[in-house]
Amino acid sequence: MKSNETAPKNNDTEQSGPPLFATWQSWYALLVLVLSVLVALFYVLTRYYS
Amino acid sequence: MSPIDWIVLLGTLAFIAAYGVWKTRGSQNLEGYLRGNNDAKWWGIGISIMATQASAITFLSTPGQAYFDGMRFVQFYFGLPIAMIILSVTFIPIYYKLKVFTAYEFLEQRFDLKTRSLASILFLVQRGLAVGITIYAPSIILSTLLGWPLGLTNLLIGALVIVYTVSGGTKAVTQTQKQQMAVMMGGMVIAGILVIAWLPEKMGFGDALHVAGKMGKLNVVNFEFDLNDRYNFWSGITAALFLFMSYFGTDQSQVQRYLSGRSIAESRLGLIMNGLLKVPMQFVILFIGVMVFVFFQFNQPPVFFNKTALEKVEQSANEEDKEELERLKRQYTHVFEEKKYHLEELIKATRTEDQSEVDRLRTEVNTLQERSEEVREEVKGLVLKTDPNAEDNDKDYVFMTFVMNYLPTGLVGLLFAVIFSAAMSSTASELNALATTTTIDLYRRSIRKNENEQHYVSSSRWFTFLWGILAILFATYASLFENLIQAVNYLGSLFYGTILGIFIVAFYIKRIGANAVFFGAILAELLVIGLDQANGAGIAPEWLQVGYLWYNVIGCGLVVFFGLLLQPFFDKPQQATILEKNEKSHPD
Repeated sequence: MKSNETAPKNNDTEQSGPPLFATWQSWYALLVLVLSVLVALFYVLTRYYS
Repeated sequence: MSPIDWIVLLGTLAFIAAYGVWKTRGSQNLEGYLRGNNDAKWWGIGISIMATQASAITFLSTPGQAYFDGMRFVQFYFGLPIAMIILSVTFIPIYYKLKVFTAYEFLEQRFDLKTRSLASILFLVQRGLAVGITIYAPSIILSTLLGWPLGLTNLLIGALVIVYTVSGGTKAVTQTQKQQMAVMMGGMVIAGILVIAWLPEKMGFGDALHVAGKMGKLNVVNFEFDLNDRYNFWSGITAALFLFMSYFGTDQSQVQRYLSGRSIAESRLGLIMNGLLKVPMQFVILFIGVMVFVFFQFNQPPVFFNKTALEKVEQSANEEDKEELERLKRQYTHVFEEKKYHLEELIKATRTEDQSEVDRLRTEVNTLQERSEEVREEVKGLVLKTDPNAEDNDKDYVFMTFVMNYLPTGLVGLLFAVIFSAAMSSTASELNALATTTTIDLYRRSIRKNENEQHYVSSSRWFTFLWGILAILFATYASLFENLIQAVNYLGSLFYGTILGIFIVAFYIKRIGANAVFFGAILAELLVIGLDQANGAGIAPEWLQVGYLWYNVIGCGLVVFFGLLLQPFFDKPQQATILEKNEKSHPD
């Protein structure tokens, strides 16, 4: 028997569009950008106060 | 603690539990009980994900970690935002498309029942033991600090969680985590502000940073590649990435959080919120630990932070040990005063930008810091001599020692509420996930297949209750099984790579079928355990002597490797087409 316990459906299973930006790729780019900025700031902090 | 602190602590905990029960009262169907009717918004999902990951040990250990080891631990989280992107792109759409309750359901649709059962049983064993530790680890510290019996502390955490998790299921977990997260963040921010405000009068925030930096505590980023170094940029961005993909993508205690979302978009945004906030949050907690370190450079800390263990030496019948302790305390005070004087001089030299003087004083201060640590090591020796079973690592007591000795009435209770809330939020998610996996992947799939909806809701409640009782019992007797605790911690790091490997094959390598991945996973697991044993015994070749974080990468890679190697010996995968069939039957 193949998974007869399929759950009731979610409200939507579609590729919903993201808020604020036109594409999800923009959100992912923002994540990478924020991480890069944080690492750069941490590096400056490490170097400046050591 | 004062009566006001007790009122704040018990009032906060009782309110959160009662709110969880009240907010989710009334009968529910299985969809409501296990997935919260899929009405969670992105910010609720994000908070729930963060509250699940942030256990009490996060708030007890992390500041202590920074106190002794500096801020380099933050690099461990660099892989997390990348993991959130990968999960948003691949895992979430498929979980939604297949409309699963648990991550392991997907494995049956992609492979077969035995692979689903293997993964769900691995999860139940690993997480079932770990939930006991989630309660035990803070309880042992809190009971020492509060002077309570260990069993009572376990019972308080466990019983409160059971009440609202059994009553309201996933929705109660998500609702209470909002309040718990508010208490956690509020308490930590207030503690952080106060520790900075209470630095010596003539000392500015910039001076505090110079002191921390010159004493090696602001070592946030290290780009040197070293496989044996657990925390550097490269291990964070690679090995920890695999750990986080496994934890957030295949551990039901996290998967259940974002499967309760209204839509794919809400779930993705919840993960993205986690990716944006987690690194800054860990940075802030570690930074508070560093500021506590600076605070204790100008306000003498105890020679050993576990007061109860130290009192045993002070009350020891052995007069020689008592005299030795007094001598060490005097020596510790002397070193502290000398170091404080040199630090004040160092601050002056930094302000006047006298670099040669700064260098000289930095060397002097760090030499004194080493002497201070040597005295502490001797005290640890006395603690162990008095009680060989005593915990000689006192870093978990650093932050709460500051809280109890320096924070005003009311805030002490609030900070204890932070620790209890963190323990409860993680425990609730874990119990909720254990009950869901037991009900959906084992009970309803293989034991009682054709019962009505209410039967399964009732079963889920009972399984939540039973896992809760087991967790309390394990936490209560955990101290008898110190080796077991170490084994449980090992299990987590040993199994995550293999489980992730199964999911990676399921998602990305359609030509590998059920049998190849099943036997490949077993082989991979045996090799990872063998490698760990060889490392432990010191017989592994040098190039294989790696930190445990790398087991996640190795385990995952081995499952893929053996899957590809074994596939020619088995029939072509038929289950691989199920995803394609599903796509055709649910046109978007």
